Amino acid sequence: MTPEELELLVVGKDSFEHFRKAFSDLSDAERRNLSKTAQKLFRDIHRSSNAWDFEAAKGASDRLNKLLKKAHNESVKKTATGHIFTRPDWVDSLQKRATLALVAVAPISALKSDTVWFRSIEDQVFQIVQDRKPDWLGEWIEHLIAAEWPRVSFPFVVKLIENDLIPKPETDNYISSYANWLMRTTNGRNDKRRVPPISQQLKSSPLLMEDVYRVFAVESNAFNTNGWLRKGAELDYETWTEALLKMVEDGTLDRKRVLEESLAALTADLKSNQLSGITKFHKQLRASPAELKANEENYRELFASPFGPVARFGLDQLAVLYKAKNLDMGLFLNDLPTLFSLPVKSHPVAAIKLLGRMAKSDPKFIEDIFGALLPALNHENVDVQTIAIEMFELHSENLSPQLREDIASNSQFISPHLTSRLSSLSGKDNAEAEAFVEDLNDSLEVLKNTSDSDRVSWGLDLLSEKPFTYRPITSDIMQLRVLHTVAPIEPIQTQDELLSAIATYIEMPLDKTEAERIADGIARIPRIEDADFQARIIPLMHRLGMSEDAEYEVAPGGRQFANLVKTYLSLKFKSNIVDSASDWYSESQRRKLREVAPMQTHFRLLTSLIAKGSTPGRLCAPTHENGWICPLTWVDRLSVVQNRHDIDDIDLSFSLLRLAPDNRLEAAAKTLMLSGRFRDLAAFVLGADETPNISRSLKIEVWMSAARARNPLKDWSEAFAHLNLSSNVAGSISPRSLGWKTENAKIYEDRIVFENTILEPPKKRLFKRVVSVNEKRLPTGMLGQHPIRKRYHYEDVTAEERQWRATLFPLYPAMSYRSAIRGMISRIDTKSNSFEPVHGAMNALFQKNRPWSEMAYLVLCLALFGRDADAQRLSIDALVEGIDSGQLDPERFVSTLERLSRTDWVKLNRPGPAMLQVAQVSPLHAYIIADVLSKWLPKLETKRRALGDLLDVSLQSMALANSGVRPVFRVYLESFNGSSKAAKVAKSILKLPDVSTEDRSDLRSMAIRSRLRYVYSM
Amino acid sequence: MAAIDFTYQYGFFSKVAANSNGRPGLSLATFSADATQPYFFDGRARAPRELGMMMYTLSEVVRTHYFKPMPTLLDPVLTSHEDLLRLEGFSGCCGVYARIDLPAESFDSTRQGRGTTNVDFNQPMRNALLRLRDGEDVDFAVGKDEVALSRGGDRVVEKKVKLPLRWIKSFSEVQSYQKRLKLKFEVPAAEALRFSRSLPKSSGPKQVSYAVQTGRNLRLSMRPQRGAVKFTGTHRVKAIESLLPLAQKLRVWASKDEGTSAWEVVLSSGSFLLVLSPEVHRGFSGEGQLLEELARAPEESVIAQIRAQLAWGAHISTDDVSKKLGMETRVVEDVIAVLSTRGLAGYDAISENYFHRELPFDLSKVEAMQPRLKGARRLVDEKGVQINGGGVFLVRGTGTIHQVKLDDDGKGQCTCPWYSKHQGNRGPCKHILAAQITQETDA
Repeated sequence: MTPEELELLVVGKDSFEHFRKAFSDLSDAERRNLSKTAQKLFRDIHRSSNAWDFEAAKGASDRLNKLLKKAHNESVKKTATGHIFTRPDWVDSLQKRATLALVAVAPISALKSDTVWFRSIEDQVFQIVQDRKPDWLGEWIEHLIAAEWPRVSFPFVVKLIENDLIPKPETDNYISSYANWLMRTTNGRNDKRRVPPISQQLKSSPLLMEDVYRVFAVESNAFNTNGWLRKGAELDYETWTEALLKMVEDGTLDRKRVLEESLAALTADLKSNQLSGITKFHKQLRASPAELKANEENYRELFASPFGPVARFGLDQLAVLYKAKNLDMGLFLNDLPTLFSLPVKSHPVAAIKLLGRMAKSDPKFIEDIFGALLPALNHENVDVQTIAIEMFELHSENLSPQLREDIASNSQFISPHLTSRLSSLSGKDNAEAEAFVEDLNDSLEVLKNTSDSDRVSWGLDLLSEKPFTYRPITSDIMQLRVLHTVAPIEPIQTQDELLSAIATYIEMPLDKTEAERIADGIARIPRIEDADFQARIIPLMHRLGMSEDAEYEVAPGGRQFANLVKTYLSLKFKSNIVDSASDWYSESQRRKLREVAPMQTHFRLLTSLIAKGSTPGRLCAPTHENGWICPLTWVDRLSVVQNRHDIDDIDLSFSLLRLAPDNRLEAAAKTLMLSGRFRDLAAFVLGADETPNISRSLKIEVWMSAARARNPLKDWSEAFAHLNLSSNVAGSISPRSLGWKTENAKIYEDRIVFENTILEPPKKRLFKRVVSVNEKRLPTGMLGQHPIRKRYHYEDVTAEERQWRATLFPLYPAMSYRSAIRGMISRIDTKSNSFEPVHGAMNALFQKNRPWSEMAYLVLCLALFGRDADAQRLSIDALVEGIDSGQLDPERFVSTLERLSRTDWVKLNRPGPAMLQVAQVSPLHAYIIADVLSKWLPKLETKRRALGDLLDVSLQSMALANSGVRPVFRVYLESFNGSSKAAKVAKSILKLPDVSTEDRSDLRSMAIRSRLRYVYSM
Repeated sequence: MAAIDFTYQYGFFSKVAANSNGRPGLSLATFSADATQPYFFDGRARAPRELGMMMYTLSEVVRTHYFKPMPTLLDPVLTSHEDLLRLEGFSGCCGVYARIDLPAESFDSTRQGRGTTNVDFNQPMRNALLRLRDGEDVDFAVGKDEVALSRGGDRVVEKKVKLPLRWIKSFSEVQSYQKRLKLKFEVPAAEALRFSRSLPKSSGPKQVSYAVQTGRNLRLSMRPQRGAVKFTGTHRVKAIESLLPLAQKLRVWASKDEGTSAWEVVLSSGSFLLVLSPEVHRGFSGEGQLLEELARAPEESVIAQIRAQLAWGAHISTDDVSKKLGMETRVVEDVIAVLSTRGLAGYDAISENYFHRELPFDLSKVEAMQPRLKGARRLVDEKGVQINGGGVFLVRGTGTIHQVKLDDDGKGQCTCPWYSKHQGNRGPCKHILAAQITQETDA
């Protein structure tokens, strides 16, 4: 056969018999000669016919390309609305013939390729290989069946084996294919033949029967109990379990071997579903006492299984043996402790109960029984620890000195509320339980040197009083200094440093504060176009040019920052950049993307100035982390730029909003160096002037920003009344105080949808307009505003961007929570997700010395109730730091928890583990958590049975804090009855000793010491 | 994924079984690079439960892929020193390195040979390891006498695996990370256990996590804080949880910037070290930390001279070697870096010393698997590097020209995206390497 004849066979329409005959007598050498042609034909045909347009194959014959062109013409059908592509049927035949030609002449290496797929022509392939009989056939089939998704059917492999063409494959996949094939319910859509029961199939084929015992050891669906596997089955259908039981019963299978093989499978590395199925199967074999005894060691081995039901199965089988008084107690008790490493509680509890029965019936083994019980004290579940202690207590008079020693050595792992019981058992005091007493005098000494105002602002006076009462910091946000709590930002000094910073930021556009530092460098450092500069910017421009998409990511709040960088590098200014963070929004929605609009406008103006070669500086560049600007630096900046005619009013407004509360009076003293309009502005914002001396030389939006920066929560309407402003949006001259409600929550298509969650003060329209206000140039008016989607909230803002938005008005970060809350609510039952992060807004909770607003508590509680691990971990951090710093007000926290828990869409079990972790930080934290729970839980009257976990946290927190039960909480706990977990824990709490807070010098010391860190330094 | 077809050929299945003396015995089957099954060790474990749990934990790490649900069936590597048995292995994703150090005091030993071998870890043996108890005498053997005699016979146990080259390569790369680790804190075992149990079992945080110590308390945080240890993948740390009830304390080590951390569980009979890569999806294999040393390529005679000093030492100080041979410490460091890539040396962050081991694999393919170095050499060969003077080089990049600046110590900065992104934390880019090679050649 010549290569051309081969091609004619493939593209022709001859019958398969003719096709087969043409290849059947070829020698190996002839096949080798044709191999390249067959491989190229196969590649060309598959590549071309798998492409929608049947593109011509390079180097292919005219004949083939003509055929492909024909296929293309036939596949395209024009319709009124466009084109429809349908592949002609004969193309499939063409592909199949190309595959068969490949099988007929190609070497094994070509046939192993993933692209060779012939399930639908296995009959023809069988005939071709039967003629060819290559010596590598077995290896090839082994390769195909060993693939993750076997590429040959099981009957095809069996047919090859039965015809002595290949040996039986060794791969496990052969057995899994075997098991899955025998348990099929139908023979496929086109084959209506009835599928015989498994036992019948096995009995009719010695080849199949050979492997029946291997079905236990290999991963397959054989013991899968999912119902869908029986769908469409005949009435006499058998599962593998049924078939095996039947064949054991009728003696076809060796019962002893089936018992052993099924038991051995339970120690193999199989998936849980299969293991579960095998345990059920083994139970149905109903092993006799003799059989149990024979496999006793194998059952004990199951204790080491990481899969709980398997370990439990071993325990149950041996319990039967124990009941039959035929258990080797020594070996059993030696191996049992492994079972206590299972994290779930039910199986260890079953083991303890069995040990309890043994201790009662077999006192001679009491030492070994208690030895086996010891690891239960280390179990992570408190219930397991409790039951173990109860058992020790029951036999306390029989505990040997050595055992008491061993119990004591395990005390370090015990839950705090159980330590006293354990100490009674061991006869030793638990070192962990010793009260944590700090020397209060040191703290009080430092307190003496603290100013009166600081003592009041940070609640230190009240903390040092008796009895100990935790007090949060003041809510007067202007009284608390912040700059000592945050790191200063080092400005970029040189062009070289600036270019390096740009290069790094383009690759790692995460820290938006870094973007602002770069913007500051661009605005300040003169551009010098020396050779080094040229060499540096070429790869940068190349990189930026390559990655248009990166513009979305690199910019804080949109594309303008990327445009600023590009303009700086090239001096080519693009004025038509759309201000959008994302193209997901329609044009109308983009216009509503208000939150960052003022910053975008600022960047655009700065870019235009840079394009002209100017270095205007940037007033709003933060001097410290979290967006803060030191007032002293701010006055210096103003004095440098005050004579420029191109000062950007939005830049000025942002600089006002970022002014720290620190050093304001000192900075006010420096305002004399400023010219008239700036002197008045600075004097007002820094506190020298009580009311603004508003002049028209600065825009009205700047004065409004100054008012907000002077005191964000004050209503300045009176000071601005004489101007007759065009509007009074929230956050302009009147404060912006947000509330929230949960009544509109609805569960819609797995998402909780809120309408009008946030309550805002209504916008007032003032008709006697004299001075017009441009809201788009007023940052505080825009903050927190975001395009609203009615049904879904898809968070298009990265976590870093969200964090950065909180730095736009750090004095009062409540606004930054607003647009994030919808996202947190809608994703409350969703795991953490990099695509829709919700935790970014929580950054503002960590701004030191900022009392938390109502929105802050809402965000905190939503994170606690949410399933998002990132947000929940941050809520733990916020609570830990909030207690240390005094930002957490327990009363407001309880109020928010209580309001949220009134809804039916929060899950009460979620905050418990997080709260416990907070409690474990120190006795002070435990004290606050216990306090919060004791006030919150009594308000959840209707959900008592669901409170077991939270009451457990309450119990452990009280034990950790060594605090007593408050009277109101006591009354509440006493009302619990029944045998629910909640009732049991309530009783345990009531048993705690009543401890007075009168002399809690440890708590006072901790509270003062941690609070002082926030007064002075971090 | 580049991998070599590798067949472990063990003389028998590793197992825990009753010995002829009636005591339970843990026998580890061995298989070395020269296709022998060495017999290194025979003794009696003084703390069998700890031994069993450490080995079980190591096998858990080695058979786990922490990034994707992919099965891995690789066996750990054991090195027998004069005074120490050391088992090492990587997770399937190569992002977690686990090591057991068993000092001679952990055993009553009768035989302790020197060398490195693969050791068979199979499922029945793993199950049996969990059942070892303190208070019972347990024999422990690495290899067997009669195995050598029956080599090539029918009893050889074969395990065919696809051995990823990156798995082997990680053995060399992890050393450079360990050199930067510093002890951050240590906590009692009970506190460590409480911390581990507080870590999420599933669906953990996607963001970077921090272990924060406050007094004796250790807690997980999402916030960077002074003294905190940065790490990712809370599920990776949970690998040590089963050891903590037996442990004395946990010591945590961390590097300053890049986020590598090491968690050392100290037990009475030895220690278990777990080193985590900076990110879950980053293995140790692709880091290129040793490329600069490889680019400097010391002469083979120097390499041979230093290699002779290793002598199966468990604690090799580069200062001692440099004093002994009268060489600069930097040269010794460079040579040991080269030896590391050849699988002949490891680094112990705890003692701050190197140790000798000879990885039991064919390493010829691994040495060639340094794409950045290959790319740099190609750039030099194709005259893609232009010297601009003053330590500045112009190096051909993809569609552009990159500027490389080398300081007096030979450390470089480049304008390429790789350098801009990683700032040298993940090894030098090929442009810096090309400039360094050019500078060395020019000198």
